[in-house]
Amino acid sequence: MAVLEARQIAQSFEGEQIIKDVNITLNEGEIVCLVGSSGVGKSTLFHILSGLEKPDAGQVLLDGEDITGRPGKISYMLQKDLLLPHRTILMNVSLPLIIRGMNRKEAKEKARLMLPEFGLEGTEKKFPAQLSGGMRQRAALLRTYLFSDRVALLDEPFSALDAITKGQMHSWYIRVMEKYKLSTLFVSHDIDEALKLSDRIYVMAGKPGRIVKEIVVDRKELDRESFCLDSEFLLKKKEILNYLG
Amino acid sequence: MRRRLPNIISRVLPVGVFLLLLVIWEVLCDSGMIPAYMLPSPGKVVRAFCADFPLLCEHARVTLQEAFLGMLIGIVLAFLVAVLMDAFPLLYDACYPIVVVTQTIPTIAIAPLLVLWMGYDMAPKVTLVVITSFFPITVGLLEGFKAADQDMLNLLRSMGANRAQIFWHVKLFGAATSFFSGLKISAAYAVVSAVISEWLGGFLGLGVYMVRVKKSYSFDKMFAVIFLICIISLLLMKAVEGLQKLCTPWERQKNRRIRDKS
Repeated sequence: MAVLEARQIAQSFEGEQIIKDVNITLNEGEIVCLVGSSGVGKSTLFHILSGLEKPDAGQVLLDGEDITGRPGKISYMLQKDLLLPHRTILMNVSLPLIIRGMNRKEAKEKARLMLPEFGLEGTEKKFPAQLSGGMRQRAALLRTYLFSDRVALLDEPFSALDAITKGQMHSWYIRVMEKYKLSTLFVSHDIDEALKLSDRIYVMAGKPGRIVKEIVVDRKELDRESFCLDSEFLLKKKEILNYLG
Repeated sequence: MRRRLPNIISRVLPVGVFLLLLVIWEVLCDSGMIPAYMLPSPGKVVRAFCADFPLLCEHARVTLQEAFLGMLIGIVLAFLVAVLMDAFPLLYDACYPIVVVTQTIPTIAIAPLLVLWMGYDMAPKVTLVVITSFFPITVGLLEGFKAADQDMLNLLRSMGANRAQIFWHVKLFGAATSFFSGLKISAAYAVVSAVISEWLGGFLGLGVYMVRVKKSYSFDKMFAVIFLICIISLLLMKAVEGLQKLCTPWERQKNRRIRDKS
């Protein structure tokens, strides 16, 4: 069943068409990746999905409900962790709950329970500057999760991390996602990362940007690490590169 | 140890230079190269300071009251203006030039007018301190509000935060550092502004005392009060720094990272 659906989205800015006829479906429990060169309108699309921008045309549906142009339903996360430097980690992650009107104590209590799952035990009273990049990114993910436990929109969530941390984050994220039945739509520049993590990949290209290809990643019983070394992986990678042209 | 040594030198050096200047001054005065009625020697200044200490304290108390009250009103006013200007861009465009003009008003020129309008009591002194302290704080706050990361604001909006929530969670605390920079400048000027205002009339205060001792040509007492004003201004600035450290605990933690356990 589709958790999140974007139908025929079009958006222009100052007379210039940025994206057109964009259709995206995210099914329950899926990880879907959106790849595309920079300037193709991925960020615009994310703004529309999160309700920050109202599209010229098209609809955004969350569990079948029309949420076009209505923020507060789906939160997204950027490459920058965007944690408030003056707030403790616990306050930072409970922020979406507080904004939603939950009282502070309750929000903090709920968030505290999730800290160990996100590898953040013992950091509740720390400030973001005291944490490593990976930990900050996990805190940002926890904040996203506490905001919306159905869908995560991630805009290049791992690209600021070094290769080793990135690999660890990938496996950790898959584990958490499966455990909490989270559906994920993420943007990446990194085709390897997209093929390793995703069930499906949307390739976005052109001007105005549109979805030029949808690729289903079939890992054929292989685990993610082994799939990265499989010949099928390279074929798919080549195919995506062709579409990105 | 090696890194601490230059640190000690850099702390000791200014004190050394200051003492050296005092010694030169003392020598110049004692040798009679500068007549005593023109420039009192440091020794005389210290003696005058000690002799008049209770009196100085009484006057300083009044001046400090004016400075504090003025700064307090300045801070409240700055917050009001900055918050409103940040919330309404039109108001910002309309009023920012006026805010800048308040800073270009020459303190010395407006002080006598304030005395004429408000009399010899505390009111004109406090008002002058308000005028001088208002600008740096307002600008500090406005810049702090403006420096808020656009992505951060978007993120909060995507969470469904309203303007008040965005202001509280992001902008207000984000502006803390630049607010304190403004406050520090205000603190440096507050006492001087109060003193200038007191020159022009009043019953108590360091400025009043200054005018009295000048009229009696007691230059040693004059210097004593100048030093006192310097010391008070420095202490006030230090106090603001202390307050800043207390209010922004996250700044202290920046270089102290903990280990990633995973």
